[in-house]
Amino acid sequence: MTGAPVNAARTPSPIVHVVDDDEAVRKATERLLSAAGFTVRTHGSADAFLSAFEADTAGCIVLDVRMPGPSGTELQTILAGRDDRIPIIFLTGHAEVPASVRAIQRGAIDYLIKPVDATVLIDAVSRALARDSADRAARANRRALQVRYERLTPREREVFAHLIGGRINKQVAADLNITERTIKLHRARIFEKLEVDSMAGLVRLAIDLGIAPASVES
Amino acid sequence: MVFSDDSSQNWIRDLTNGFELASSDAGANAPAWYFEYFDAVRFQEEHHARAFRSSIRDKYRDRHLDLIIAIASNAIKLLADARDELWPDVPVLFANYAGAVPLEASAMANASSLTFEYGFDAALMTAKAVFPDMTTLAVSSGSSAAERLRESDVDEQVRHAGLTFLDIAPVSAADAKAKVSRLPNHSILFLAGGQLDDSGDAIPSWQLCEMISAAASRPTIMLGGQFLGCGIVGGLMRDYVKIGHVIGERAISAASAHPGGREVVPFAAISTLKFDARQLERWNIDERRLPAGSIIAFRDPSLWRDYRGQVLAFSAALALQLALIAGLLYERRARRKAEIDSRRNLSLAASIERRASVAALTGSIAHELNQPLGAILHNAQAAEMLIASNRATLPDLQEILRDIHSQDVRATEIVQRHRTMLTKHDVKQETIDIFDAVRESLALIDHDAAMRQVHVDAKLPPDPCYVIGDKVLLQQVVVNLVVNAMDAMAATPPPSRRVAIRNAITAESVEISVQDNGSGLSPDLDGRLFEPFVSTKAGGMGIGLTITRSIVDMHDGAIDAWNNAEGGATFRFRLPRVAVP
Repeated sequence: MTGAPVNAARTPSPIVHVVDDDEAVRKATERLLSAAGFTVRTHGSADAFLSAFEADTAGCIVLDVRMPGPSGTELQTILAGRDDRIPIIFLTGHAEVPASVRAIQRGAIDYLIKPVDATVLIDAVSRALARDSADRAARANRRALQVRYERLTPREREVFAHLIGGRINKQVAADLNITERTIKLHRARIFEKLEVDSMAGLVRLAIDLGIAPASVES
Repeated sequence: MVFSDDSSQNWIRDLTNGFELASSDAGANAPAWYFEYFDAVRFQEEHHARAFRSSIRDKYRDRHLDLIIAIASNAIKLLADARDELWPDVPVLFANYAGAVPLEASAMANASSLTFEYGFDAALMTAKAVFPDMTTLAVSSGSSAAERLRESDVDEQVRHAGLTFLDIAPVSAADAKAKVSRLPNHSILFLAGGQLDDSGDAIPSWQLCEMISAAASRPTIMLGGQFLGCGIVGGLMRDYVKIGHVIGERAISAASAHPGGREVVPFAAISTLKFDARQLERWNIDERRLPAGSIIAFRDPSLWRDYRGQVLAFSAALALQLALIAGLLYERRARRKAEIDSRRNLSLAASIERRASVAALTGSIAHELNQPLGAILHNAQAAEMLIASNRATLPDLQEILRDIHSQDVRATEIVQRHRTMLTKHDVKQETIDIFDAVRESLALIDHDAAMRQVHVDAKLPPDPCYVIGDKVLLQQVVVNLVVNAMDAMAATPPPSRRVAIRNAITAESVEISVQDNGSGLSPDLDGRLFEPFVSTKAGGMGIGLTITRSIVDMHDGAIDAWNNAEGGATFRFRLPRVAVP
């Protein structure tokens, strides 16, 4: 119980989205992945996928690189701008090393060259779903941390920013022109609201949320 | 600031902390505070009140005060009685955290009052949300607490919430322990405090809570937030730091503006949703069932435990990714080296030129063939899996075989279409539609154009236009010119890489032009453009355009080229037309 991530909602079985403009390929891939036990949905274009995709649902995309309309690479760019990022496995008819390096650098799980052997594809899909589940848990945790941070009053956020900069109470008190006792009080409230029990926990939370320490002229 | 109680009380400490936080918020406007503790609960004698009054009168004789704050009923009563004697002209703020401010005090001139909602109903709703199967609220209260509960209509509110009210009314500490150890199922125990021990002294609330919660067979709750940690589960609880903060804020604004008015502070402003992680575990309460925004205290041992698995998983995924990228980069280097080596070994000059168009064509074949091959492979493997797991039905397998067959036919067609392009053959003299031939050529280099991010814009009429000649050779002309145009645009930014295919028809002839917006024709070439071994390309041998011109010549046509005014070059070839066959 104490080790459980906050609000990690239980999800229905993840969906493998197959996006390919070639109907024969689409159908064959769906058949293969269904036979392997995955829940599969197919889409004939990037636009069809975008209009059918429900935000924040578990799954991954098996994506053809070249398609009329937005290409697979363009779909990756569109999805990269969203909060609920979903892992992508690219399929291509042609080995293009720079394009594959670029796609992987931008977070793709794999870049597979057609024809793809079943074991390779199934392995990639399994890895993508595992990554998706970890990503979603991490996002839920980050959101939970954000909710905790939003409990802080403006003054407490100020004190927080000074504390994570490694300043001791006395220095923070001098920086903010309040008494050291008040800083201790703020600190206790901050610890309670953020549900941390040590400075190390506080700093790690700041790093997770990307909050920079206050800059202080010495 | 005058408090009823003594300064050692937990809630007094929390209130004082709240004032300091309000001061901190006020920054430079924060006033200086003086605190006095009446201690009237333990010292109820009249002479103590007299001594206290004279002591603070002497103490503050020479101080200028902006505001007096009286907190809780004994202090309010003292100030109401002694105000004329002590500070007749100083504004007063009466604050009572658990009950109303008496009318005679709040009606005084130059006085204002603050009271706080008791909040039992809100706390009860929260408890119902956390314990959905709760049917009974058991209440453990000693004599003094029981009276307070009656005043607040607690039993009425419990019944109103659809719950059974059960007062276990313990007569002693030992009796309380025994009774709470066999509470009814689906009950929650509300600790109201006020229990006396055997010698008749009040048991401090914290010890009482620890004792009862440890013995209780069901979860316990309390209203005061300062008790979280003594064994209660938690919930929506009164937060004395927030109460102190509100009093401090009102005091600071009243000291700088005018006093007056009566204010009731809602429970929402002075309560906090807090739970004890150890008790949640003890009673097997899922954290996800708690209301949004709940603070969880006493989490053990730290958050790191929650995240360690994920941090490790992320590190592993990152390492895997880096290894993969490194591998791909290495592969690219190895491939480039092999390419350079094999290029060096090529002895035939002509083959290099040929490679350009052959590469474009093989790229197209590979891409086109991989589609049906991939579909066949996946169909076959899906069938194998279905058969291996005994899930295959005859109609499924028939459908899969049908799809495999049709994809095989598709692959064969692709191979046949390209074969004619790649094999040597005699020059034919056929009547062909030149636009059709151009369209087929463009289909062949479509893949190459996409790879190079070139937009091919062809405007060709739907009606046929006939010429006599060899379709494959004429297609080679179009492929060469378009590949040439694409080569010329290597330095053009991708969005402007555009090849325009246009036509012009006269009575005797038809013209096809290929226009690019690349680097243009070099002035060095100066009329030698179509001569053999003239090239400005790094790897080119300079026979591509020579071959192109010889094919056009063979068809009694003409070819020319020029630089466009707006940049880039245009190649145009003209062929004689024939009438409809």
